Amino acid sequence: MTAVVRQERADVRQRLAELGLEEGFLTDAVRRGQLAFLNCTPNHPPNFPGLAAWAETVCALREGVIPSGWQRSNDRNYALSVDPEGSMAIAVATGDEGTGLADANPSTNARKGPITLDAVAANQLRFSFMDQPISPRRTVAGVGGGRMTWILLIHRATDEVRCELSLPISIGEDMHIDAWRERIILGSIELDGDLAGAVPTPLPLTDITIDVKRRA
Amino acid sequence: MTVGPLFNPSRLTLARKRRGLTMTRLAELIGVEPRSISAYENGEFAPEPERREQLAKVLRFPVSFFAGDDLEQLSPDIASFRAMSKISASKRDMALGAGTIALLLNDWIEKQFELPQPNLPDLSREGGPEAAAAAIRQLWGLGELPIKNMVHLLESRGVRVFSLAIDAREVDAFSMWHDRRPFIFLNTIKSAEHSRFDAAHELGHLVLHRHGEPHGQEVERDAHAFAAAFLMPRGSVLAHAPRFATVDLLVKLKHFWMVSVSALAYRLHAVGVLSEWHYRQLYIDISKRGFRTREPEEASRETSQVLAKVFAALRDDSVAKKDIAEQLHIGSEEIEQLVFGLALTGLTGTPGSAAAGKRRGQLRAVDSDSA
Repeated sequence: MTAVVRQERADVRQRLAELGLEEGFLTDAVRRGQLAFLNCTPNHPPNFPGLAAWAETVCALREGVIPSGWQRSNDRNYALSVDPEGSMAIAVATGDEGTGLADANPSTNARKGPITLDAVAANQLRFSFMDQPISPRRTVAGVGGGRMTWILLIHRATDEVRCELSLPISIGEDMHIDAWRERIILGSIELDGDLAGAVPTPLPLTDITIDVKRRA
Repeated sequence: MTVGPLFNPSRLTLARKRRGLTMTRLAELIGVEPRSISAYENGEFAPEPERREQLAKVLRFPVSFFAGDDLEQLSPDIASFRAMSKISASKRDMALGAGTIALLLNDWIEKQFELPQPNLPDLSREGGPEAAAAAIRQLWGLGELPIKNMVHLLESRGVRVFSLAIDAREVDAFSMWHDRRPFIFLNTIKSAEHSRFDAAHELGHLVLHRHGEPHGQEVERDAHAFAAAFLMPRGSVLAHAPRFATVDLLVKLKHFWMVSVSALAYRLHAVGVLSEWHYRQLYIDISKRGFRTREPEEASRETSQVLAKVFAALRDDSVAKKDIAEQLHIGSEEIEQLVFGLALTGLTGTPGSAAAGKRRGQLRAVDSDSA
């Protein structure tokens, strides 16, 4: 099945609105994660920056949507934000370099576990019943709890962070997500790259000479 | 009861306040009843010569100081203090006392030297601090360039700049107009960047609030916004704004404008390149890393060029720090504290010593023959 890819700004906005979301909630959450990532130093354990970014993004996303009636869910230790009807959930994961690129078919970076597998299976199962555009607001009773699990997929490149909100429907034998039903490409976040390159060279400023005269 | 010619009550009040003492505390220190101190200061009766010696010793002023004419007593409402609500009356009086001594020193200097004439525009009708900062930059031909040295810039425009050595974080700086001359006092216990910002903040008061506007938070906010806009002009900030600000990046970037990392974060937010949450997060990170109290990668401190030149010229005439202090009837430490410590290096060396010779090369004092 080919994924429906949305990248036109108006299309993205409209689709997110249907889902009860705003692009700003999602990209701000990604930014906050990025700041947490960049605030780590070589003295932090090697796997911590990614973990800090993930945790901060999850938290920021929840803080963004909770005022609209969403709830957090940590069932089976799977960190999700769940919409008011319980029909849509969002998880946060890092993706490969295809993330945020409309022509690519991105995959998750890390091998996924049984809980993600269950969630993806539930998404998949729903589509075997419904051959129509997805409306997560309509739940199908008895299928995976009637809930669609979307992934806020994030990829940190050297000069930008790309992200998308996507609905996975297949996990390959290597336990990476390999197919999507729908991908909503979000605005990427530009980075400064190398610190030295981001800082302007000091300008050659002239000294002021003040005349101080002895009175006669 | 008359006051003896050798004792001026107002000078005792000044000396006591300069040291941050209450009448009760001073009475304890010299072993008299508080009532006596009150009587000395009200002019009811003068202290005995022996008491005068004690007062002089405790207050660290020469006995002769108490005999002079009335001195200008600066009242809190003529000077603008930052964080007025946080500052204690005794710290404020210590700062104002230093201000009075500075007026004395400045008069002495101006009798012998021609200093730049005051030349500050009145921007009280300029339509906001941002516009005022842009206007003064245009007027002074600064364009969008960073300010290399705030103290020198102010001095070149006729502002008399002195240092305050008051060990109180709540006394940042203050400024005032006196005898149509603008004065700025900077506390040197702050970082160099903080001091530059204070200098710009006080310039804001001098050009925006010249007509004795009521003190208060709004006036302070205006001066703060003026300082940020003056040191970090909008166009230059927009041209060099980072795409994704982190504390580490701001620590590097701040060198361009020679400002503190927190001032830069504030300005990036003010010009709209940092969102509310991003600014808030950076603010937290800056605090967490202790950069609010200890500036990272601190710049070198600015000092007065005018005072350095004055002292170089005096040293060439073999006039030493203690000579000036004697003429003004004050302790040498009073002078040192006002002149960014320059007196220590500029006036204690004997003429022709290595230190003095080195300074002579850097300072271009014009003597009376060529003036």
